[in-house]
Amino acid sequence: MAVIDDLRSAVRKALEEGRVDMVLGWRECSDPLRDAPFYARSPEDADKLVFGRGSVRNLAAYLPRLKGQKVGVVVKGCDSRSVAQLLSEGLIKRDDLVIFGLSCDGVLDRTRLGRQVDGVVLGATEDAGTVRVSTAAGECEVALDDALDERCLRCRYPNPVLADENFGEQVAPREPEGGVWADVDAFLELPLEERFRHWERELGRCLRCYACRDACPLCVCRDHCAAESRSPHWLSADSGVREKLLFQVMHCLHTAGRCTECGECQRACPVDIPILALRRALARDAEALFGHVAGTDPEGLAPLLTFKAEEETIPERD
Amino acid sequence: MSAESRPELRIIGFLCNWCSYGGADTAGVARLNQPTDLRIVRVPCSGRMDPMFIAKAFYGGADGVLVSGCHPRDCHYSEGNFYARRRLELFLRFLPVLGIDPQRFHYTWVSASEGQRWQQTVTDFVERIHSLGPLPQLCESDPAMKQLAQCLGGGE
Repeated sequence: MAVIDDLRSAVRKALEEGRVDMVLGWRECSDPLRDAPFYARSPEDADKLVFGRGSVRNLAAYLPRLKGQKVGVVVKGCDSRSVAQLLSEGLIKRDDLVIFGLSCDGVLDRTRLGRQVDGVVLGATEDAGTVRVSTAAGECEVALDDALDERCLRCRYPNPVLADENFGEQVAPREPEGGVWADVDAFLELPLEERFRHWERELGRCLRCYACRDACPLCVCRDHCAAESRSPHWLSADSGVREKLLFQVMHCLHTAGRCTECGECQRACPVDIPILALRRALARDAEALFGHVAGTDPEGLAPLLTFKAEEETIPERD
Repeated sequence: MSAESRPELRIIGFLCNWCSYGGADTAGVARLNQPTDLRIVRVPCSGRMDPMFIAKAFYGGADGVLVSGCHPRDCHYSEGNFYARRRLELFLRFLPVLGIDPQRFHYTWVSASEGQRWQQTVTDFVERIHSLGPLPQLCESDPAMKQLAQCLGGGE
């Protein structure tokens, strides 16, 4: 309980002192599994802030469009990487920002949980590694690790990489079985054609609503998005799977070496396409090739925006 | 028409204006034999290569894509190919994730005087693509639209 009280009083203080015009945080809403993003604009608003397993949304996504205002933002460890990446690209200014950092040991994944229970989730309480879920059909129990977001099970950054004020006790990074990239490795073990058909099948469902793009904290081209450009005409209005695949590849490539794998794209997807896997694979390669973990160095430069005359990791072409 | 007996595959070559395009021209002027499967797209610099071009080529029906620019340190714009190298290498590693054989993509450096080298590069690459065969095709129809058509009672 103490953590949230500390956070509230720090936010209240920042608003009272006028250090910030608003603070982005989470507050309770009708969804039992997710807290709503919330702009606290007055000191009284600070009391509405909450933090818990439902504080899923990466609030860094709102920052670029608030450029020019003094903004406070509440971040978990993973979210702080998005903030650091935005800072490193000059998309937000450090001077305009007050970061309230929270250590976190995981958030719930509604999609994952929904697959394990019957009907709509009406409420969820947690007790010693078990989540008790109530639905219209009654109550059932799910192990915490089966209810958490899969990302949290392999989290390397449970504590903020940068923050002005930190709250909560430091959490140790997880050490998942098979390593942090076990999911990528497993996917790459499938036969080639199966991988090809996997994306064809999964993206066949895509509605091209572009929610994945709009939720992405690092997609900042806004109304200059290549997906909607008519000159050149990158993507046509054709409803086939090709345009959908191309759009995903485009999004992945535009965020290559920058993506912090926050998973907002996948979470925003209304038809549950597992698109985070594409981005994770690229992030792993960027790390292997350039030794760069996106969003860990607010002063650094994204690896594709720079080069070395001699690349140690890239084989010479004779 | 192909001069060869085997059916042609679709192979796209993105060549930098200053080196590799010149190299291919040199090979042509010297009347070096080249496979006819390659369609060349001339780009101002290999640094112009957005990996999207390659993805678009593959999903648009290409069976192989070749990118060639000036040798590192020889770029007409000093550093275009250095940026290209990072992007292309990363994209090369991304292809297996998409289920496309990374053998189908090759990037290399050929200077304007290296007609012989160009001949070797393009012959080897086309050979390689022929041994891999055509890229699996994406299914033509949109499953969602098909379902919708069935719901509306319009389907076959």
